Amino acid sequence: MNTGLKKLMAAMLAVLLTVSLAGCFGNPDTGGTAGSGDKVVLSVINYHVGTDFGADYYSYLFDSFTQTPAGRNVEFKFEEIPTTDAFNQKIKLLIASGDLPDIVLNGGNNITELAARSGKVADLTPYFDADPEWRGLFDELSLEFNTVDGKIYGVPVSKEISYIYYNKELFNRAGVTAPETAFPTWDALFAACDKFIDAGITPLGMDSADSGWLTNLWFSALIATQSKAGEKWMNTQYPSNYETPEVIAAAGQLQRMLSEYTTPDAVGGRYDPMATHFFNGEVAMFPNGPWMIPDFRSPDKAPADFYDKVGIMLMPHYGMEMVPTPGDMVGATDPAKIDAAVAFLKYSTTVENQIKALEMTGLQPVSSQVTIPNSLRASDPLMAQVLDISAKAQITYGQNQAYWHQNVIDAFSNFLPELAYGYITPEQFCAKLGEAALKN
Amino acid sequence: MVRNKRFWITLFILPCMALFAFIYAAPIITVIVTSFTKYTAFETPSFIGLSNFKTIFSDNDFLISIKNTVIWVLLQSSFHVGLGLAVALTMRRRPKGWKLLRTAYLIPNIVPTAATGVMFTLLFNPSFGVVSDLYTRLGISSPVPNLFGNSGYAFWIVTATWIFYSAFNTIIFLSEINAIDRQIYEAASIDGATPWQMDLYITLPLLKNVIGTCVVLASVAMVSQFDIIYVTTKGGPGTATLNLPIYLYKTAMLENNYGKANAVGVIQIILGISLVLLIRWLFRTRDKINGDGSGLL
Repeated sequence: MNTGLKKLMAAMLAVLLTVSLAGCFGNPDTGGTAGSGDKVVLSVINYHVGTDFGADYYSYLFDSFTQTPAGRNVEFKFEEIPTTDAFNQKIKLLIASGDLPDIVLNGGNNITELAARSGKVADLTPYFDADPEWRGLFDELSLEFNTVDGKIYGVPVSKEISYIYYNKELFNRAGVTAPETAFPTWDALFAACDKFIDAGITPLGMDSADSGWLTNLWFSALIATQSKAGEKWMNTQYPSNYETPEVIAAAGQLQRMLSEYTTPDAVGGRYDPMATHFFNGEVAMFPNGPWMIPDFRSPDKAPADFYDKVGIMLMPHYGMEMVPTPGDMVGATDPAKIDAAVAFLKYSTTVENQIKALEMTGLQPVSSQVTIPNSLRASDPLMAQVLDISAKAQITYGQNQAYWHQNVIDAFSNFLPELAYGYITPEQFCAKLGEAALKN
Repeated sequence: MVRNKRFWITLFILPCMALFAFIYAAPIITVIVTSFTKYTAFETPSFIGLSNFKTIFSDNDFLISIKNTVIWVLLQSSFHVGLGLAVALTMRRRPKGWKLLRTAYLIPNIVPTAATGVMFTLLFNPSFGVVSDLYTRLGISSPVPNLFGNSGYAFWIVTATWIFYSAFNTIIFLSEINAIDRQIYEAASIDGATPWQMDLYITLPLLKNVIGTCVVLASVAMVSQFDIIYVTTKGGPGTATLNLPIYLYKTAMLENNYGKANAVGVIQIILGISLVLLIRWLFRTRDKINGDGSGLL
């Protein structure tokens, strides 16, 4: 090859590389437009995939919507991101960059407020106002939870509740009589814990890593059931003062639970190994929501017949977490896409689909108009028991993951080990949470 | 002819410069500019002067993150690099099975650090990890230590997950050692030098430059260390393993305060550049002192 030809080829390669680089910064495919053919293409980032508890239900929801009159001309373009944590991080970045998908599923983490204040999601108030029947499905608290500066941005699809699951076999082995609805007081629960310890059984499932989900559920209940002030505090969004008597007292009780009544790996541990402890019959009581019930029958997660060994009770003092879920939002800007996205969100909240969600995932209906079918009592008695016991709750409260700033939840997770090992006092623990809250 | 040559040089440098501009320079400039702004997930950047820097320097957690980062840099540039050098010097003598050792020592570097983090988390799990098993086998009845969960030793346990794996440095040192003229060692041997004396007076001085390079690489890597800490402790318990990248991540992703996070990023860049300059200066100064190029070791 002569020198001239070599130079020419090298120059062409250099230009090709430069041009292809420039191509990297061109406009990405935005997922189609309202007018591409007859179809409206809606982009969705879906985290209900893989082993997620809602994967099958959301697959059904998206498929069945395209067979309805409102969804016949809609086509979904999915990006899948497993795990809520990774999904939330991605959505936060997209809020900042302004590249939100057309339908923004809501994974919590204060995303509703972030998205609304950024002005990157559609105000859905006119759609609710134009359809009183649809609006009537929701109670005011659920809509208020999804309202920012007087405008509704999210469509809540369920309510979140949590209580205590217990292992009937372990209760029998330790000689502890399970209460019909709830231990009347925390002292009664701790007395039962002492009996479990005497019998060589770990009483409580707890964790601290990630968000410290299980410990968070205990802590929420402890605060809310301390007093009326505690109940009010636990129903307040984004509290800034954590050094109140009821929060400090709850932190003190939490310290005792972490140091005396849980597994050695709870401190620093994640949710999954703790759930495995419960499935393996190594832990007597485990706080969680109804979405865990399908796991009790899953051969991949729990031993055969485990479902029949599980009982349900409320938190002491007949307390139960009951909080509206942060609703799914619309990130589309094209009017035709917004209409299509709202149509999908309406479809996801029909009475039929709320029942379907309950049956398939354990998600509690957001609407009080939903009548639970009798068939559920036969097919899933534990789920039916959840619905029965919910009506007996005397104290209902929010939950830290829904009501606290994200960095406070992180501080909670980080400083739980310090509290558990006695390196800091309950007062110092609460002060740390307060310091984190003030950074927002 | 010269002008023609310059044209070709420019043409060939162009893709590299374009890559640098888009991938490194533009983000770095953006980070520096926005570090002087109030910039959150729902606010466009607005100039606030040095406010972000004042905020982070008054935050005790930030100061702890700098302290931890500096300790890890010192450990990495001394013990970690020193270990890699010691292994390379041992292998230079080609003991029996040295090739197997070289390969085995490299294996941990092939495993992704995130996977290493998960592996150690499971190994040190106080309920079912190896420590728990060891306690059972030895009949120790006291509680199994929660190595990642207790701030009493979490920092050192996290350090242990990477500090011993210095194969990258060993490979660099070995290649440099192999480039040293054999005749120098033969001459020293004839003069009666012991293997230790040959290491001390021949190998180490001739490795001076590459030691400097390894120290720079190790230090800079530690300034940006993130994944294994995130996987094992996320900076906790408390602030026991909090370093600058984790602090930056939390500021950006949990506080949603991008301006403040970028101020942390600027400090991180300054720290990285300062370390590179300091290490280069240290090695250059020793050069001048010795004069004869015999090196610092």
